Amino acid sequence: MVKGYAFLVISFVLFVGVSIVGLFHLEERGMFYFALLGGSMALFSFALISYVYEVFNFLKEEYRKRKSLWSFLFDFLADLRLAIFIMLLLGLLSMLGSTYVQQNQPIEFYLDRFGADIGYWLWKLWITDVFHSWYYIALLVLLAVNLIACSFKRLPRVWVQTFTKERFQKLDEHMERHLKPLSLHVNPSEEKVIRFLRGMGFRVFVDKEGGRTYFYGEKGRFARLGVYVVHIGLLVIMVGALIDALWGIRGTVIVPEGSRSDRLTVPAKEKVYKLPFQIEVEDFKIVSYEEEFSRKGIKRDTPFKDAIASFESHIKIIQDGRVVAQGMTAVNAPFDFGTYRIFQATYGLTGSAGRVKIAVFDKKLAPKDPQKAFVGEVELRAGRVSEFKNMLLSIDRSTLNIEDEQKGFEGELKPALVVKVLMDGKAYDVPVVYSPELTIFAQSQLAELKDFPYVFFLVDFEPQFFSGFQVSRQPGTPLIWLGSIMVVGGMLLAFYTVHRKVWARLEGNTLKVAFWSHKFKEEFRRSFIRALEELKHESTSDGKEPHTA
Amino acid sequence: MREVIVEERRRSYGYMLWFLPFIVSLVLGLFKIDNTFWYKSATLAYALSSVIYISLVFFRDKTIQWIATASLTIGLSLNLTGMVRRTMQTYELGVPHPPWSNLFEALTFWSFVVGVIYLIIERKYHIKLLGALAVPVIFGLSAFAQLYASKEIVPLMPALRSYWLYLHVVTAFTGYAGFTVGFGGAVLYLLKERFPKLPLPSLELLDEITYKSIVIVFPVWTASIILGAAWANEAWGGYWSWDPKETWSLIVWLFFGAYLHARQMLGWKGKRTAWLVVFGFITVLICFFAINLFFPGMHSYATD
Repeated sequence: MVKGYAFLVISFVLFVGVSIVGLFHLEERGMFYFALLGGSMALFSFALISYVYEVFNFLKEEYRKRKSLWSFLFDFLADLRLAIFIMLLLGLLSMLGSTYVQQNQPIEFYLDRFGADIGYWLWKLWITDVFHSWYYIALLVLLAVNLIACSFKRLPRVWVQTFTKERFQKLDEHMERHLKPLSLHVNPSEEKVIRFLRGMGFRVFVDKEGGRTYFYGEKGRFARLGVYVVHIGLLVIMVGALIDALWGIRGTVIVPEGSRSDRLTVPAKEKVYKLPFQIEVEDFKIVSYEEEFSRKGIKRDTPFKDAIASFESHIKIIQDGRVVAQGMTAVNAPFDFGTYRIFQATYGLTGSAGRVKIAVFDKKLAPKDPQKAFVGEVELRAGRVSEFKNMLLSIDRSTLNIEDEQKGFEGELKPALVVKVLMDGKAYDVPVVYSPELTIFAQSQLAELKDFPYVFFLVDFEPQFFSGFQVSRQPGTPLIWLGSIMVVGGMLLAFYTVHRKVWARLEGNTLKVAFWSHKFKEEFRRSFIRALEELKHESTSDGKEPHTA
Repeated sequence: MREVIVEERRRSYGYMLWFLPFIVSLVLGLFKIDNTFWYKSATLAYALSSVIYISLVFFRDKTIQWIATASLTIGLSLNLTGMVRRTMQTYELGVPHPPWSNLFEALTFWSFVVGVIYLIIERKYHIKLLGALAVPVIFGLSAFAQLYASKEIVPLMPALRSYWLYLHVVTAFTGYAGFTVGFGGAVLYLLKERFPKLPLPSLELLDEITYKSIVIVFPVWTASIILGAAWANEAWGGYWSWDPKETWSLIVWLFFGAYLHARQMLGWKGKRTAWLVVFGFITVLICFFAINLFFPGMHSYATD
C-alpha cells in the first residue's frame, strides 16, 4: 500500500513537473518534450491504475473479513491511513493551486495566456480555482467524516483505559508477561517507593495483598483527550468556514472622496452586489509619521517624516437617505456596522480634483487695478456645491495633468477644471487652468462667458483620492475562533503533556517495576532507568534504612 | 486501589547561569554602535563555531566540545545584541518595529531561534554532532542575510504596523527553527543508519529527538497560522484568502500532521519517518524562500 502510494505520488509529481516545464518555461515544445510528457503520463497512469487495483484488492479483502457492509464502511472511514492519504493529497493539490497557475481570474485570462486548448482544460479541471473545486471540497468533507469516524472508533477504548477504574491494574504474574518488568534487588520501603514515584510527578495508588504491595502510578492522562479536542476544533472550524461560504460575503467597495457607494464587487465571482447601505467618504487622509507624532503629542525628529504611517477615511453609513452611523476606518482598525465590517484596504487617485481654491476677480476692474478687482476666494470640493456672493459653484470636470493624463496619476500635477456656475438663473461653464495666462486666454475666448462678470484663477489644487474598502460579513467567524482555540489548546494538551504509567510490586526485598509512556518512550526509558539506579544506589548505601514490608 | 500523598521535591537554579550571556548582550545593545556591526560579528562567530563543531566529528576532545558550545553562545549573544541595537535604532529613527520584519531581520532572527533551540537540545541530550549540522545552517542563514538582504532600516508598510506582528512572526519563526532542528535530527538519523560507525547517539534517540522537536513545534506552527488568520481578519477583512504563503504554511501543516499520525498511530519509525521529515523540510524551505522571493502575496514585504 505504502510503496504503491509513494510511487503514485512520485509519478504524479514528475508528470506535473514535466507539464509545468512545458507550460511555463519552454518557448517551443519539440519532439523530445512530448516524448518525455508522454512517458511521464504513461508512468503516472500506470501508477494510478496499479494503485487503484491494489486498493481495490485490499478493500475486497477487508470486506470479506467483515461480511457486513456497514462495519466495512465504518472501518474504512475510520482508517487512519485514509486520513494520511487525504492530508498528503490535499497538500499536493494546494501546491498546484498556489504556484504556477494564477487563481480566480476570468476565463478570458487563461485562454489568452495559455491558448484556447490548454486554457479551456485548465478551466474545465478547476485548476484555475483549485480551492473551490468540487474535488478539493469533497476531500475536505471526506477528511471531516474520517475525523468523526476515527474519534468514534478510538475514544471509548481510550476513555475506559484512562479514566475508569479499569485502569488500576496490578503488576501480578499475569501482567508481567505483557509488561516485562525490571527487577531490583534492593531494600526500599513502601514509603520510599511512593516518594520516588511522586518525585517524578506521578499520582500513586497503592494496594496491599498478603506480603505484596502493588503500586500504580499515572500522570498526564488528560493528554489523551487533547487529540479529540483538536479534532473537534477542526470540525468546528470547518463548520464556521461552511457558514461563511454559504451566508458570508466579502468584497471591495471603491468610494471616491466626497461621494457614496453601495456597490460591492467580489472579484472571485466577477459579481457586483448591492449593499443594504451606502458608504460615504467624507474625508480621506494619508497619515505621515510626522503627523502621527504630532497627533500623539510627541516631539520627535525622524528622517522618515513623510513616510506613510497609515491611511484613514471618515465615513458615514447611509440607509434610506439618513445617516445611521459614522466614524473612522483606518489600516488595522476596521469600522463595525451591525454584522458588517469595513476595512481600509487601499487608496488611489481618481484622476480628478478633490479640493480646489479659486480666487475670484471682477472682470471689468481687473485690467485697471487688480488690487481692487479682487473679490474673494472660494473653496470647491468634489461632489459639493459651494456658495459665493450670488453664485452657486461646483466642479464639473477636471484633470490632474492637462498635457498628459498618465503623468497626473504619477504625481506630476498640471491641473485644469471646468467650474459650473449658476448665477441669476443662468448656467456658465468656466474653465480654470493651472497657469494664469492659459486661464485668462481660455476665459476670454469663450463666447458664452461674454456677459459673465468674473474671472477665476486657480490658487490651490488637491487631487481627489478614492478610498478602497474591504467590506465583509462573516457570520461563521466566532466559530472559526472557537475552533482555533480548541485546536491550539488541544494540541498543547496532547503534545506538551504526556500520559505515563508505572506499575510496581514490592515483595520482600524485590521491587519489580514496569513503565509505559504514550509518547517519547525512549527519553522516558532513559530517564526512568537512571532514576531507578539512583534509587537503588540510595537504598543500598544507606544502611540505616528501616525495613518494613 | 487508593491514592497516597507525601511531601517532597527540591529544585536547582544552576540553569539560570545560561541567561548571563543574554543579559550581557542586552547591556551591550545600549551602546551607540551600529547594529550591522553586531550582526557581522555574529556571522563571523557562527562561521568559527561551524568550523569547531564540524571538527568535533574528527576530534572528540572535551575542551574542543566546550569551546564549540562557548563559540555558539557568543555568536548568539552577538546576534541578540544586534537585534536589541537594531530595535533601539528603529526607535531612534522614529519608526519603531521589532527586529523581524524584513528579509534581513527575518533571516537573522531565524538563525537566532535555531541556535537557542539547538543549545537547549544539546544541553538535554548531549549530542554535539547535531551541531555539526545545525550550526552551519545557522551560519548559512546569517551569511545569506549579510550578502543578499538590504540592511537598511525603513518604515514598515502601514498594514504591518500592528501588535499581531509580534505574535505572528515570533511563532512563525519558532516554527521554522523547530522544523530546522527536526530536519537536522532526521539527517543525522539517516547518516547513522548508513554509517553505523559514526560517533552519534543511538538511532532510537535520534529518531526521538526528531520526533520531539516536531511535536513541540507543531502547535506553535498551528498557532502561527491562526494568528496570521486573525491578523488578516483585522487588517483585510478575511481570515483566509489562499494567499501563497497561507497555502504553503497549510501544506507544511498537512505534511507534518500526516507525519505525526503516521508516527504515533501507525507506529512508523526510523528511515521512513526520517525521509518524511526531510521532504517536509523542503516544503518549509519553499514556504519561506520561494514564496517570499517568487510568489509575492501579502508576505512580499520580505523581498527587499
